[in-house]
Amino acid sequence: MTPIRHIASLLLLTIVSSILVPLCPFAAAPSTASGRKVALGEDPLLTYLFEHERYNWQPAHIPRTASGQERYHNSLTLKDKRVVEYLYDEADNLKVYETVHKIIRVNSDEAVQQYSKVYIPLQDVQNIVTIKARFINANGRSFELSSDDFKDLENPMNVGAFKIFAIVGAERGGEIEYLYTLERSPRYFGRETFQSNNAVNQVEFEIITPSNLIFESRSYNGFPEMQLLENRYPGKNSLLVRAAQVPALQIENFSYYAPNLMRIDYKLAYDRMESSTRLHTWSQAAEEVVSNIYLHEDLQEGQMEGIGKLLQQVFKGVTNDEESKIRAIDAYIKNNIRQDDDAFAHHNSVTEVLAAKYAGKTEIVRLYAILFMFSDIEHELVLTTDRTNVRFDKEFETWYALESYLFHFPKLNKYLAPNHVEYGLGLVPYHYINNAGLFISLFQPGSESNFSFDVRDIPEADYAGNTDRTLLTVNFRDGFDRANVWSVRQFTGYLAVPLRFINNFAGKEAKDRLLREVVQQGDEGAQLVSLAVRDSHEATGEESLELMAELKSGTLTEIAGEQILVKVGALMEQLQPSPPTQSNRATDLEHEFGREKTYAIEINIPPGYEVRNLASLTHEAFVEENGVRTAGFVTHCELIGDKLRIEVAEFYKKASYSKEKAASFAQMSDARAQFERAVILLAKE
Amino acid sequence: MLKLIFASILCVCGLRLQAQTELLELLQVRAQHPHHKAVYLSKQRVIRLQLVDGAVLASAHNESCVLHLRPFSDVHSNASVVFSKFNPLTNLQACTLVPHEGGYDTLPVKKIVTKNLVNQEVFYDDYQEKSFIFPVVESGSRTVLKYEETLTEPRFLGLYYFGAELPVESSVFKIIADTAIHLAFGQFHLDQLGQKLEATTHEEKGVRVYQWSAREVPAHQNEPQSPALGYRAAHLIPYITSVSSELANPPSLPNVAALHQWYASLLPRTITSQTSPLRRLTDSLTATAKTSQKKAERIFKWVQTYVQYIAFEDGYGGLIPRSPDTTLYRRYGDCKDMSLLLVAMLNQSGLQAFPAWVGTRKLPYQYAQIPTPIADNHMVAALKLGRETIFLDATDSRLPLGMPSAMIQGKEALISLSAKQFELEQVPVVDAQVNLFADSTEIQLAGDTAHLQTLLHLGGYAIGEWPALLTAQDSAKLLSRLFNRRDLSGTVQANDLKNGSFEINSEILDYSKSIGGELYVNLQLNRRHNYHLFAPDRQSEVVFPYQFVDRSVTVLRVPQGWEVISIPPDLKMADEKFGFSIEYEQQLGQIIMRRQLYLKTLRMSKEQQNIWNLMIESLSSSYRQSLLLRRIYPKLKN
Repeated sequence: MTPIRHIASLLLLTIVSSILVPLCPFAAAPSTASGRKVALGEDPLLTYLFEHERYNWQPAHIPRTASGQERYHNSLTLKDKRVVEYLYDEADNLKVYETVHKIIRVNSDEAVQQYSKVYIPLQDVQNIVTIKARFINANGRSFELSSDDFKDLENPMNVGAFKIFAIVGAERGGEIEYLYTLERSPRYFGRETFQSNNAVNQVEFEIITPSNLIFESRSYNGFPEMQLLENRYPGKNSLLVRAAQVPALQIENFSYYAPNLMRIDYKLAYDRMESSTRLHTWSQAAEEVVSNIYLHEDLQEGQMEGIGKLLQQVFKGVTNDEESKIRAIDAYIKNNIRQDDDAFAHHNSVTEVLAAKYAGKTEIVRLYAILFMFSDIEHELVLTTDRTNVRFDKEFETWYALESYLFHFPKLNKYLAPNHVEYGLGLVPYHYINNAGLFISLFQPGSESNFSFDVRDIPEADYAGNTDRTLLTVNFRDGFDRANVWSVRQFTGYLAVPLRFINNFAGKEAKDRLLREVVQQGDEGAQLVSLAVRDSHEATGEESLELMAELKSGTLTEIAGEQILVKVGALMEQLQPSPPTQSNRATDLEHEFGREKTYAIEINIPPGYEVRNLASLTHEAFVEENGVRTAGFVTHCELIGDKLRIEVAEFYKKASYSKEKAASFAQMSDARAQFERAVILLAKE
Repeated sequence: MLKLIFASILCVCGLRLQAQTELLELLQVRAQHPHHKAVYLSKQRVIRLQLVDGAVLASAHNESCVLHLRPFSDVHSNASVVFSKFNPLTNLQACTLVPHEGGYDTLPVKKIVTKNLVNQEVFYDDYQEKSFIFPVVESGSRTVLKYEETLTEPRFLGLYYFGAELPVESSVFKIIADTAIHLAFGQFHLDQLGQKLEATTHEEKGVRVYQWSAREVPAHQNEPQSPALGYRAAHLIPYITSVSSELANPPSLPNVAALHQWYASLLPRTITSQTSPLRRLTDSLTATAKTSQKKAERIFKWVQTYVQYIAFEDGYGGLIPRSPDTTLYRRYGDCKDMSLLLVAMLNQSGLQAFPAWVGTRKLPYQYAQIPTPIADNHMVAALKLGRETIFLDATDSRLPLGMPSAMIQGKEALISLSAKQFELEQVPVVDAQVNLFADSTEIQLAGDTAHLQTLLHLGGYAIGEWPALLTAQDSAKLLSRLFNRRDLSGTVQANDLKNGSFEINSEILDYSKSIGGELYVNLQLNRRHNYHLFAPDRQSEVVFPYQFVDRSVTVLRVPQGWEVISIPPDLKMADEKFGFSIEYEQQLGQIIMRRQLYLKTLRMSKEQQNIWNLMIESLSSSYRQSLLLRRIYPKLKN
């Protein structure tokens, strides 16, 4: 991992945890318990505040020589020990001490560069109890950092403070080692990821709690489960896991890296001192969310009147059906209220939001919710994860999974993403679909509660709604050096989203450049004669965007004496990189969404020429699952008079395929590659 | 008329205006700027320089007012002000003025967040920004920003660009200085403003007032591969040349000598360490080196390999290098630390080396024009070998000895020979022939599949362009980038890393086309620069990282049973700055294609871009010329 990626992942971690703060402000605070000061097992006379208070690294030593396989790794983590200990302080407040100890053997200069810059996020940290770092070179010489070597970053990118340091004396063949203990305000959920692109040995993760607090955990992607040990420390519970080796996971094409890493999610499940009620359930989460979003403010008469007037204005000229009303509310908020992506809340009330015309992310959700509520629009509020980072696990009730908001409208069966300005009704960022979520709805008739909830799947979008269709008409009016190409390219669904965003928001220069690249379709030498854009979304609400262009393409033909080779494949742009076809993948195949790309090409054969080698243009290959073609590549051509018509279709009906299917994509890739290489000959009659 | 309206708006942000006038003005400004969502009605910076208690105190007042013209102008509602220990901010005020009943409602910004700036280059940076969101940014509203800076180091008065990312209707830069403080001004591209710039100077009550006022300044363009803004946008750089008063530490920089004197005072007292680790290391590296060149090579290589570039920019820490001993112990440092370590080790080995400050090519200034720290942003080691000065930049771990880093080519270096002596020397621009990309490929046809054996030789900066060659990972991607085509598959083998030579074995399916009794083969295997065109409506010059020569040779052994019917024509186009040639030769059953393309400039004017485009069109067209071979049928015997 490069340093910048390293900080990026740390920042991500911090961002994720920060979302929870406004989401669950009333997360159940466990009760107090006895046993404030504890005795460490070996010596009853010594008392410590927490078990790892005196934890230390070993004296400097000559690093062990790397064994056979180890030498081939850029780096190898020799130790990755993490301990989270919850305890009650003198004032009976719950505190957390987090200890991390890592030793990384660096075998190459790249590894030295990768690991010698360290960033420690300090969000929620009240005190740094210990922090130390050193490098031990191949001869056993130790370079320990002095206190001046640790620097503070107060708030990079608005994600809270960091302690950063650079390892002193680092060179290949030695060991980078650091150890720190942080005192934090308690968190009742957590996530620890243990796998990376380098192998890790001696992984240990432990959660120590007073005996009344019971944590639960779930391990993912083959990592061993944690075990509850009630006798490891007197009067305390220990949830412990050890793994002698965690293999490296390399980045694979056509899958997301983060969700496939070995990790543990954990949560506080019971406080036995209080009751036997299970804590942090989906039900409690739903209650918190309802309270935070719908019942956040007690709307006064004047405010309600203001919202009523606003809705009158929003619905002016809008038909009285539910879909039109939703679209009108969505358009009003997205066109008038600017979202601050760096904040959850700025204001005290919806009225203030409407006056200031900007809002934090949670406030935007509240505004939608209140306007839907006042308009009697039946809806569910959905909380889910970004599946490219971590999938929503329906079985494990961690509020860590409640990252992002969506709205679902049961009557229309459509979703809306309130915090994503580039998306409208019916289309939410692909990160959230093909996943699951917590669905919350208000006011179920006959119910005692003022809400109900459900955990269920968020289905993926129909591939047929995400299309990229191109009609090309090719002429050789000005000779064979440059073909005259008339192109009409139409996008729908997800494939239209980035273009619509460019069309509406990009500066003129960037817009011209980006749209030109879209119609050139990888033929970078094609000269653009004219370009027009038609966004039918504005007129009809349909999600299609059309680019019409006239081009002069130089890459289409090759000339050999008087013969003309026409490279039909040069007109094609790949739908997306081919899925890898090797069978020994570690991860399942997964991409953004199902989709289809088609071409209808008409080449006008100049008088006096005949076409040869047409057979090279016909191919087909499919991926089949249970007799259903779930992906495919098909081409077809016919010559009618002086017109050569070629049709090409490539489709992926699903967003994910099991890794066992990887090999079956080979034929499809071959067929496409053959078509891309296909050439027809225009020979003088 | 418009100017009057703007001037009054500027003065009275908050004062009531007629709704009619305001709408008219909005429509007028909109019509003048059809492609912009907002414009600066005004922007202004006023620097105040005072002599107080024997020291120069410097502060700056900044103010701007943006008029929002169109829907979605809220993309300009996020704003931030950057500061560091050299310019702490005070009194930051921001508000939006929203038209209401013929006047304006003032809506203040309530929340301002302070963030550290993080960048890839600098590990720890004391640069921070205060960022905020203006409320109610919509067509017709105005966003106003005001803040004060304390300029803690009067040698850094900063620079002032008259323009901005949006068009600026009125731009004012003003300095009010006590008359005892004398100033000079670097003036760059002010001619672009022509009659729209007015400059005045006058004295009043013990102060001298300098003022430049510009109107209707177009928005800064930002095209890819453009020279940095300093090369193309009107700006001013003020600096103090003298103070007619006895000061303990006058912050004046009248000339390069004064700048050097100040810089030299920031260097550690002794650069050459006699401590044993540095001496032992240097001795062990150079013990068997017989020549000065060899010694320098070994020391340079060691620092490049074993000292990491990790920069800490923290107030004066961004100016004062750490001692060589510290850098050696830490095994990391910034450009200054690495340069001083190199100087110390080279000196220890008996060579003459000196620290040298230099501005990268992003900075357009020469020290004589601007003898202030704004003229540079980098440090290297200057090694004197015979009559030659060699610039060593250890922050680039791939450079061979003798090559400066590409980013400082042609720039002026301030070499510190001693605390009082210095010299200015131009860093050489590396010759195009050195930066070589040369590939030579033999094609063997098996059916229509081409088996390719390529020898690739890279020289100079071209090696640094291809770090993936050194690890030979992900061959498919690497090959497609090397040859600018996506149909190659094969392996890359590092042949002789030291000299930048590589062997590549690859194949292309269906490379030749056999149709009927004819065979078509294209010998333009490497498609580098194919359609590498610059947009015809481009405004700015193009900047290249380095000059280069590309050579490509392809050899086809004519398959048995085929005869050559048609060979593409030779082609040549030569300009002083760039050109190419293609030659085909048929000999001993082989067809050989030789191609060369060169670029002998680092910058290309608009006119040259047009010629370049013609050349590239011609080159790309010739890439599509194939050989035609025909099967030889044996004569039937009667």
